[in-house]
Amino acid sequence: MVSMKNPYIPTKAIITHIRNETPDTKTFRIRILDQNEFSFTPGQFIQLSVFGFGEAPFSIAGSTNEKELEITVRRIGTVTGALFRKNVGDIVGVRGPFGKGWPIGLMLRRNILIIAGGLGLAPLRSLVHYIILNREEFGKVYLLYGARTPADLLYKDEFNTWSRYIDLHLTVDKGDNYWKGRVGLVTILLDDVSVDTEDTIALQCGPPIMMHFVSKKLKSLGFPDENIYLSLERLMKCGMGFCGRCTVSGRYVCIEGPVFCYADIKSFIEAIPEAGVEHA
Amino acid sequence: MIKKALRRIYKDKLRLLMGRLSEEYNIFSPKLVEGRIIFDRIDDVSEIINEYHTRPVLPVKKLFLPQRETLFEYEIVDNDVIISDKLDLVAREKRCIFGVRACDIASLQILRRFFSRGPGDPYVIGRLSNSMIIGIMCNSVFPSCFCHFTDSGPLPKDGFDLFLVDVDDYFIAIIGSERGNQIASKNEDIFLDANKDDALAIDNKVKEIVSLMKSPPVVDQMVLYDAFVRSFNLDFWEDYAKKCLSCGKCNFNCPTCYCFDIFDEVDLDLRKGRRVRVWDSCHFLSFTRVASGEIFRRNRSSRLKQRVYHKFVYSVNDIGLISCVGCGRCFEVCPASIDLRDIITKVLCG
Amino acid sequence: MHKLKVGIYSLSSCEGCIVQILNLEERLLEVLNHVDLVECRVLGLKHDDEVDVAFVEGFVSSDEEATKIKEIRGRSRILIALGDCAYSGMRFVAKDFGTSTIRADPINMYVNVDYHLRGCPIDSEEFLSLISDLIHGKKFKESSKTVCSECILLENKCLLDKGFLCLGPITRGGCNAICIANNKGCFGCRGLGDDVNISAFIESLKSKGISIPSYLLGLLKGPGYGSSQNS
Ligand SMILES: Cc1cc2nc3c(=O)[nH]c(=O)nc-3n(C[C@H](O)[C@H](O)[C@H](O)COP(=O)(O)OP(=O)(O)OC[C@H]3O[C@@H](n4cnc5c(N)ncnc54)[C@H](O)[C@@H]3O)c2cc1C
Ligand code: SF4
Ligand code: SF4
Ligand code: SF4
Ligand code: SF4
Ligand code: SF4
Ligand code: FES
Repeated sequence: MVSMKNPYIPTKAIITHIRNETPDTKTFRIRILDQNEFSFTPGQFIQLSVFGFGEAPFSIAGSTNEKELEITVRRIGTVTGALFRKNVGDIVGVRGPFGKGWPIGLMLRRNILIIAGGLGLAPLRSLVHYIILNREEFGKVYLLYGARTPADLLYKDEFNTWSRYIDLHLTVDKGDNYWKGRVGLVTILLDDVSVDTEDTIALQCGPPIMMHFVSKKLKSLGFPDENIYLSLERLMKCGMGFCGRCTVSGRYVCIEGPVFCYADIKSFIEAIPEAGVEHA
Repeated sequence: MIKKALRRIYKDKLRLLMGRLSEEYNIFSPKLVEGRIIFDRIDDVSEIINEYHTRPVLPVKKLFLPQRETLFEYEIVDNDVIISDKLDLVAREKRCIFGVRACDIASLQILRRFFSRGPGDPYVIGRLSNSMIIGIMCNSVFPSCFCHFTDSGPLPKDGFDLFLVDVDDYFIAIIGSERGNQIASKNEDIFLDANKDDALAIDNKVKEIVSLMKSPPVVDQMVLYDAFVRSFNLDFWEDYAKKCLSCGKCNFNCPTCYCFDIFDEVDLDLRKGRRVRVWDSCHFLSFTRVASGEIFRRNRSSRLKQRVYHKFVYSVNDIGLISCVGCGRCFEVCPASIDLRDIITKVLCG
Repeated sequence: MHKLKVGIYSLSSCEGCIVQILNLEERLLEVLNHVDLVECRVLGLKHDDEVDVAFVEGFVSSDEEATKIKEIRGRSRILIALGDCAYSGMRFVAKDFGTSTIRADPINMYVNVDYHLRGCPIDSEEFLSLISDLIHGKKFKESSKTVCSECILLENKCLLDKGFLCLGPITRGGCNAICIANNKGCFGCRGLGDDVNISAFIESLKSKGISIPSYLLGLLKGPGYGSSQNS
């Protein structure tokens, strides 16, 4: 009892690299001190502390085979604002990894359809890296990614590499003078690919309203509910199923999620706005 | 009839017992503070209230999951952070909580089950394991009591070290644990043998208390669970939501509500800081607000249902127990007088 | 780190909010280690130049004051309305004036306000946390609790149950239910909470047989009650 480890205390970590992604988004590489490894499943998240400012959850965006971990962060409030003022060499705190990631076991040898909106690409980037590292384990892989504008596209410099392994499709809500690609919501990209709905697992992460429309569209294409997975965002304070803030119809998104199977949550009105009626 | 070991303690010996215990334990008890009865640390056994009919506004939960608690402190020096855990303080303190009623004892069992999941919450679990619980049977009921319905009182099944039943000029002491047993054997001059009628006396007293309660007719808890599941989309929820003021009082004084917020506090130098947790309430709009501005329970009815369904459905799914102990505190303090017993009755009829 | 230049300004007010700040005593001195207080009439400080943060207490009661608040806004980066007078024009205190028709305009009728500290007077702890957030570059977040929920944390006996009027159920917290702790009903000086249910509140008062003064009923039912929320 007395020797019980305190799971609220973060482990110290050091920022080793910072990359600008978009005007309000940066990718931070972080090394956990006194720890040679950081193992996680793509889709899991950490709680990051900026001492003096607080703690916030972020998806792990880096690769599973690296010793350091990466997160991609949008500046939006207290913790993210303070993190943006940090430099390489500064100390932060990490707890985790937490939650259940993408269902990799189920995805082996099947086709994969990944749909990401905006910052939702972060937890899918670590999956893309995983797939590329283990490319022969998967069938056809599509990545459909939409952002607000071309400037908001994350990980642009990796797109060439990705395209050599997977089928990448991009769209923006609003183009600019240089943009030659598709313009429109990410759902339109579903018209560009023809997937075998029987043997494809669809994974999505993005704003709730995007996931609502994507799920609808996937349904109309004939995807069975069991083959659709999505990652939910909820307010999370503890990450361990105690603070009660992240629950959706009594399910703890921090421990049972953030990745859920559509078949399990489609009935929760809270999970995806307008998606039917919430059940007890 | 009760199966546990029984003893007798004459009432004039209670303070003697508490005095001896206070040599080893920090004693907490309902206590008179500025005209209110509240659970608090007592320095002298004479502060223990002889009036067993008053129940503190805030349940005993606050001694295990305080309203506000520092999880750890830190100091930022140059480019390093020195973290100091406060957990050892929790682990070191031996406490004895006196005067806990059956409903509150049941709530501690629920908190124990809940906070033992996953990695466990070392603060709550640490305090639960370091606290001796001396419960006391209610001599009368409050207008809101319905613990018989939730099967949590007025006699607790487990979760106590000693439980006292007030009979004439003595208490029947029910021995609830090995720790309780040791206290009894160490203090043989206080813990006298029980009479063979004492078990029956407890039974009669329970019957008497139950007969005073305004409780909905008792049903099997699975029946209750199913009835709630079926009622989720019924119209009457909106009627309750129209009355609810979203004030959050019902969460804060519910003995099983545990939700909390976490934030950092830091001095002006940005050198010394601490991570703090405070109680939060699912009736507040801010409870589900995420950074993008989305609020997942915007409707008042969805928040009211969150509270009620958590007690009777989600909690069963999660820890296998309903998490209402029938204390009635939530509607005792509700400015809109939303009576949980009414809701239960509607659900069971619906 | 660059020290924030701070000014404290008064329009028409009782100076109660400034008293709350001065009452912080040593803790105010500690704050003054981290900011430059350049302007404050009660302390005899005059600056008339640009400031990072302007705290303004009081309401606008004349054209001169309207000009003054615009002038202050013009030379301050962040403008903070202190107290109920400044952000609501004494909506609640007005009851003491009965049907008086004095001009009491909230300052946000004339200028943009970045934050306001609620209350009559303001809560000194909340002032400290706002200052601390400004120094550290955090976004100030006000309490999202209700006064009622803070009241039950103190284990007070509810005034409504004793038949007294109290606006705790609809009022935004952050004051730690200080009025109720002093045995006075909450009079709503902090404005409305996040998602209040005024009609249900009026109903619950009726059912408890508690009468509501007509000026208050007018306010509660009128438009704009509790507006000017921090964004
Ligand atoms: C599982 C999971 C994974 C995530 N992954 C990522 C990721 O990879 N990258 C990423 O950038 N983000 C991610 N997020 C979101 C991220 O956690 C939030 O952006 C972060 O918590 C914001 O913290 P903050 O302290 O900077 O913002 P806060 O200061 O907490 O608030 C941000 C905004 O919320 C609003 N707000 C908050 N509280 C209030 C209030 N009381 N009243 C009014 N408005 C309020 C304000 O508008 C404020 O600007 C993830 C979230 C989850 C749950
Ligand atoms: S829900 Fe109400 S009756 Fe049930 S335990 Fe909580 S406060 Fe008591
Ligand atoms: S979700 Fe609501 S009802 Fe459930 S424990 Fe938390 S505050 Fe209480
Ligand atoms: S609900 Fe009432 S009768 Fe039952 S144990 Fe609690 S206080 Fe006693
Ligand atoms: S105490 Fe009553 S009015 Fe307040 S939030 Fe709870 S149910 Fe609603
Ligand atoms: S006294 Fe006022 S603030 Fe306190 S609980 Fe009652 S109504 Fe709410
Ligand atoms: S984040 Fe605390 S319960 Fe899920």
